[in-house]
Amino acid sequence: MNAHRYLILGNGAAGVTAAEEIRTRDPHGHITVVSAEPYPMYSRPGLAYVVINEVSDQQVIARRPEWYAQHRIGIVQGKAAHVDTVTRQVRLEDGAVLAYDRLLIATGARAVPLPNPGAHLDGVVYLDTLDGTKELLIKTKSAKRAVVAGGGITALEMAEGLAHHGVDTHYLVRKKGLWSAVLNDTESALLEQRVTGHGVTVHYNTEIAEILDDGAGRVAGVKFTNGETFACELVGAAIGVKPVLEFVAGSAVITDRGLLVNEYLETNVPDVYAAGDCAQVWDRWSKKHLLDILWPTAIAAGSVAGANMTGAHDAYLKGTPFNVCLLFGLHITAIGQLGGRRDSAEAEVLQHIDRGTSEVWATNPHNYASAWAQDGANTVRLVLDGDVLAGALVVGKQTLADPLRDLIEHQVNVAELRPHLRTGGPAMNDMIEQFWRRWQAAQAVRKTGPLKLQFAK
Amino acid sequence: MTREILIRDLTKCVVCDVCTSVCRDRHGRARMSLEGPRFGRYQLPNVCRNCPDTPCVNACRLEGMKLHEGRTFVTESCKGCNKCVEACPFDVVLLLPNDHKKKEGFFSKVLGLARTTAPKTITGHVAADAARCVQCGVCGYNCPVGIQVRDYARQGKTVDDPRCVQCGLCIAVCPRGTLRWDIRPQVPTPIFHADKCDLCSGYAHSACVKECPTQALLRVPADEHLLDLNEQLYYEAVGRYLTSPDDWEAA
Repeated sequence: MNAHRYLILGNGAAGVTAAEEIRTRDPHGHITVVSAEPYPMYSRPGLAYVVINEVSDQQVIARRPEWYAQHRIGIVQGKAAHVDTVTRQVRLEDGAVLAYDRLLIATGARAVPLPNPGAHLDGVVYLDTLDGTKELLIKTKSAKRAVVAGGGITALEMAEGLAHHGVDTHYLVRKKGLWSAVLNDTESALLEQRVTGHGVTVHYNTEIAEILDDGAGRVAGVKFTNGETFACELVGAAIGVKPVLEFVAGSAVITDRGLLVNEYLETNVPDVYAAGDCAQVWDRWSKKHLLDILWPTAIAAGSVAGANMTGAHDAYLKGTPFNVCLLFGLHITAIGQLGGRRDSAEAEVLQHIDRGTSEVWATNPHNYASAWAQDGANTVRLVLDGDVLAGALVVGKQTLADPLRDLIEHQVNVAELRPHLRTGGPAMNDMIEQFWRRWQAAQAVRKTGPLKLQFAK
Repeated sequence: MTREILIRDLTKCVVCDVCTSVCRDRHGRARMSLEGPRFGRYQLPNVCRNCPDTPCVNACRLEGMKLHEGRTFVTESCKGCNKCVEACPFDVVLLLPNDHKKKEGFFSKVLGLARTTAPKTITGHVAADAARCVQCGVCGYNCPVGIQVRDYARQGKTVDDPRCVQCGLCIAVCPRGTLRWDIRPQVPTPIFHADKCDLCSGYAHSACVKECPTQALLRVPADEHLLDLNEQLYYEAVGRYLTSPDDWEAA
């Protein structure tokens, strides 16, 4: 029997995990990974720590080049230009043609460029790739003033990085409130305290209309929609990311915002799989196909896709969308459905999903109810669907993050907590933790069976 | 409170080495040596200068090194992670193995076969939750002995590298709370602790200053008073720190 040829488009979390999984299951297959960037796999969430000098740019590289050789995984640098599912070939932009028996599309997502005039100028930076981050770091040395646009985690991380390097940073928010897609007013205010405490100036209800040229192709400033001009040398853009799908256009693969896949991560074309940021997966909380631009989800999906490509038939049960972020020294954990703001009926068309974000967060459960506890700068917000926890947002102290993730992941009925949830406050947190411990103990008993005394005969 | 430093008056010193021997008696190791830059009549011994920018305190992420009343000292939280040793510009911080008490049993009394209560195996283990890990590499970057904690976290394994000093730094710095103690290290771990001159904090007097027969060792406040003694010495001890941290790194 001929060895299978596995082709993986994308050298990120999903692609590399899939390659690793294939190698453990099929020691003889030919695995080829197509990488758009000249680096081994690196950690995109880690870029946030590179900009604040928490780690070096060498350190974010999660797999050494030797790792690929050890696992006999071939690396081809290039970008896919076209997928031909009939002849089973992928053509790269440089003209090379790669044949496959099984194809995994894990190309991920790329930052959406600013739509305004002047977005091509030197000085418009993105925190999306390692190259972009390096460029940003070099530019901070000469820049005096910077403007950051965007409403999500990446924009805040970029603002933090620029402020860390001593650049006078101005953060533009289109709406009223920071990260308003997920945070409520109190949480936004808590975050704002931290943001301004780090020396970042926040401008609400402000949007870039145009980026001004200094005559030499560099950024001289920005013009806001209200007509004001603002001099700056750097424009940080993080208005969201978009799955990389251009190359599947013209093939038989069905796409929506991402590649639509079934629970086995197969697309509608046989032997073509998709995983990671570019795959739109069925979400059991919101009962829709949604995008997750999250690292752990990509890892889990990549592992299942890799197994299925070698002939297994494992269903991928999407875990709770979950992310912890450290913004301006404040820990924020978002789990499950958080319910968009009730007033956010405004056009979401303009808004792209951000890196490190799940579309699930902005959805509302069917029977919406919420509970809230605040203790100084630490808050816990719970979203319930009837008697089941559907989502949680933990700011500050993270003791409840893990218990809540467990409870949400297993869709535990928390009816007995109802009275405490209604009163809220610090007592609620203690009750949740106790409840979780009881539940965990009960789970352990269920797994091992109740303790039985055995008598010698 | 102003910070103080030790200087030696060369016109009085007879190099009898009483200072280093009393230091050794009190702390188990001579934390000072007499070599050092000379400025006319005075000389700076090779001992902690309580730098105003406190690189050792800044390097420590575990509150193992603290600044209090103008002097820096090692606290009980020190886990021997080597960060302060790397940071010290004068190499006066050292890692010492922690003492493990000898068991005073029958064999030790009669036969002299004392056994230490040192742990036979590494008891502390760092465990990781692979679902939370995003491979950012902050853990390995901060690890004082250079363990790639990330690779263990990826596979959800506990860190069983024999080099691990169980300092807990990776757990403390992980931005996502991925790491935790699987087995919390117990006394008498950690294996090492940092050791440096703290001007005999906890004692009424500095041993070396008090016991010096010719009163050649002086504990002087490193402010204007030092300038009166010797301008060059003052700038060596204070002035070079008053430049920006960037200049300091370049130097």
